Amino acid sequence: MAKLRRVVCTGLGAVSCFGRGVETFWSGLVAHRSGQAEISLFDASIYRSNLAAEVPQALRDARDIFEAAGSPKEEATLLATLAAQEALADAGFADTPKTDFGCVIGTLCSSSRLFERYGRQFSQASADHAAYPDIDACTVAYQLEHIVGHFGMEGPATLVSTACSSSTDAIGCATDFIRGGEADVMLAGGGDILCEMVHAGFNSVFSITKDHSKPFDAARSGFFIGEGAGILVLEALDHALARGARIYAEVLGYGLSNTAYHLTATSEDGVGEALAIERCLQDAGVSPSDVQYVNAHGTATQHNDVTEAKALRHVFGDSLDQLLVTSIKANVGHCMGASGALEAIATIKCIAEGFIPPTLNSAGDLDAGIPVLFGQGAARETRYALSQSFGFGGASSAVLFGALDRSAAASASGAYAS
Amino acid sequence: MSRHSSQRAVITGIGAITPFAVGWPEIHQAISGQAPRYEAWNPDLDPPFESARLGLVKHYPREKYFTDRQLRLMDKAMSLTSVAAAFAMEDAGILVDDAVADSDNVATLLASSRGEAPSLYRFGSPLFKPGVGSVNPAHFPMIARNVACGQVAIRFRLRGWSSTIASGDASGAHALARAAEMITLGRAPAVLVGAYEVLSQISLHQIKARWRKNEMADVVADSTANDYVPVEGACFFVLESQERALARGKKPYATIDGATQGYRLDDTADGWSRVFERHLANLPQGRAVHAASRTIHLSGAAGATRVPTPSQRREQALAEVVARACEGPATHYSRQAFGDAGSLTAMYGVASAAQALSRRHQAADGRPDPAPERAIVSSLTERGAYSFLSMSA
Repeated sequence: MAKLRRVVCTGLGAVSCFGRGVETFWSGLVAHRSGQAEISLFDASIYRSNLAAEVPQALRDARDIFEAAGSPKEEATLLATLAAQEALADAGFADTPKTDFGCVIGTLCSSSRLFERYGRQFSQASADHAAYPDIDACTVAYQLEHIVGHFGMEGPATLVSTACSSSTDAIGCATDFIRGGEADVMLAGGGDILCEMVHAGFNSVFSITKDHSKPFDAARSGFFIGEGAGILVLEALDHALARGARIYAEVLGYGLSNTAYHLTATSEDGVGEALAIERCLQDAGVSPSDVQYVNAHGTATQHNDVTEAKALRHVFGDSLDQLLVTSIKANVGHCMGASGALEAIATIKCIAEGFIPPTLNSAGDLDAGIPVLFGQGAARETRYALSQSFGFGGASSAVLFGALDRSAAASASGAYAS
Repeated sequence: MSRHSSQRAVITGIGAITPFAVGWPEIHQAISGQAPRYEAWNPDLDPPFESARLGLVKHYPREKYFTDRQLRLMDKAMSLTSVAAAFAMEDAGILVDDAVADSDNVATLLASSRGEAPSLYRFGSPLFKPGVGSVNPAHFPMIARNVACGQVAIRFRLRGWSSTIASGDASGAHALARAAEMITLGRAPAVLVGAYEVLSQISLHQIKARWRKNEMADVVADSTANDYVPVEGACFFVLESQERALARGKKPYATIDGATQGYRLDDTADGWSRVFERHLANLPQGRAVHAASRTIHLSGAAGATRVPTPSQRREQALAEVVARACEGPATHYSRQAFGDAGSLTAMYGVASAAQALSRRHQAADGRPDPAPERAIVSSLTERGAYSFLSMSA
């Protein structure tokens, strides 16, 4: 097999229920905060649960922030653009021409609130085209189109939408563009928002908690939907080294699978989900016994957490004891398609900071035999860390990050055998 | 698509469903014979222009693959994609006795530009009309764009790499490029890659509103042209490594040599020349289009308006560049043959090119093309996305 280029992460950007910025997001996790609150964006009192984690209203209302983001016509795109701004600045690209940069977005709910508004007008028989000034922003591709247009990117660009697994898939897809030599720098991630349709849908299938989200806890009762965005700047290692960039972590590999089991439910045995993890480790050339941390999908639903534990046992077997497993969904909610990107950022921060925040609200007493970190966080040097996401339609994705091996970086000229 | 490819990705199966025919050979024959006839625009909606038509898929053999009960739980996207996927696998000879060999490793990739709108609206309708009632949980999964892909995976028990692309009308080309890369990187023995579009009142209304805003389709010059006929359909391919196809005695239709994609709003020939040269330079050694090769160009361009739209100007500039680089290839316009098919436009372009390159038939619109050796399939969208796929015999 020919040599492929190595890929590293050199910039991070996040927007979450805690506000704008990666440090705000990370300090919220470290301080055991949760953004869970009653929904303010629409009347949720008619639903079995009215809980969610919205981004701060002040962020939505800030005219200067909105205009600096290119005045996007819908809010998931605003969040993703803000995260992209931060990530590019963090990587040292704020004032760099970005013509050759590419972008892969992963999202589920982008434009859905706009679609709701459009749907309401349409259902009330308003046939006047002038009533839909934002028609171009009514499809999910708008998030990608706005970001590449706003930053003047002309490199490879696409959008993946694999439900709640979307932005983990996006990170892998962007990695492939760099590995294959089609771009030196890619943005990867995405933004998602709360909308009534999706809240109503998850309520109708009893997935939204009425008290607190408790991932991997015996008394778990579901999640609450979060809003947010996460964007990573991914870069060819040789390109990053040549410009003296700060390197957070290396993207070592990724894997995808379809469980081929059920349109909404996770599999009974966890094998379909495990295939994505196994493919990820194989792509990275890393043994399960070398992995120290897993940022789990951990939705706190009855089915997901049991299946995910089975998948981890299937992959890690006897080496499970040396893992730590956490979920951040009790902190920031389930950010749908954007959750994978935010969790990837949390995973990279765990590697960079040598600290792993705990799983909030959890006693870790799910009888599934996986080592869930709960209570207090843990100081831990982490060489290899996995972030994984699962979604409707059997979509499963996993990405492996690693602390950069600088001796290998110096000798390998940014290439490795795959 | 990686320039470091070591395996060649070949097309060994094609399956398609269009409003005017079902099955790729039948579609090809229908297109070659005469222009497809479409139906009048939905009478419940004002037509966007006087001669507006649309193409709905009404009959396809769903019952061959699903029970009535299963079909009741599906939307049209799920059944259309599953049937087209089955056609492609049967054509490739990898679906035998309702089973796919090595199914745990066969990958699934799906694309759609606007396909989720009907189910999104159906699920949300109770919220949109006050007093109607609560949402139906049975309709909830169908709001996720990848559920049709999941249905294909479930039906044929395919657990390989899997993804869904939704980057607008370029989605089909993007999915094909990613699928080809999965083969060249050795991630799957076979990839089932396809696209679908379905229509409903709200999606027609969206299309009409977008035309009015962006493309001025209300000044369509040729009332018989198909460029602005919204159509439903699904089209799938089976991709394999050339080595695997030959080992099992399957003659491929064509090879996918490389792909380039990006965003560009420029409509100058100079600008597109640089982009196209980059595409050619990125092709693996020995697979580039060269002056001596007989090349066909399958373009997703729309014509038929009195005043050229921005995307038509870009397509025109690109066509000139391709013509110079390839010494005047015959250019075929997929939208004239297949209608405004969203993400399917590139798929139909690739299917037509594959057919021509396999020398089994002429290209889709019936023009004579003596033994083409190379094909360029271009896809440019009104919002600036572009994609080129290079193929060879």
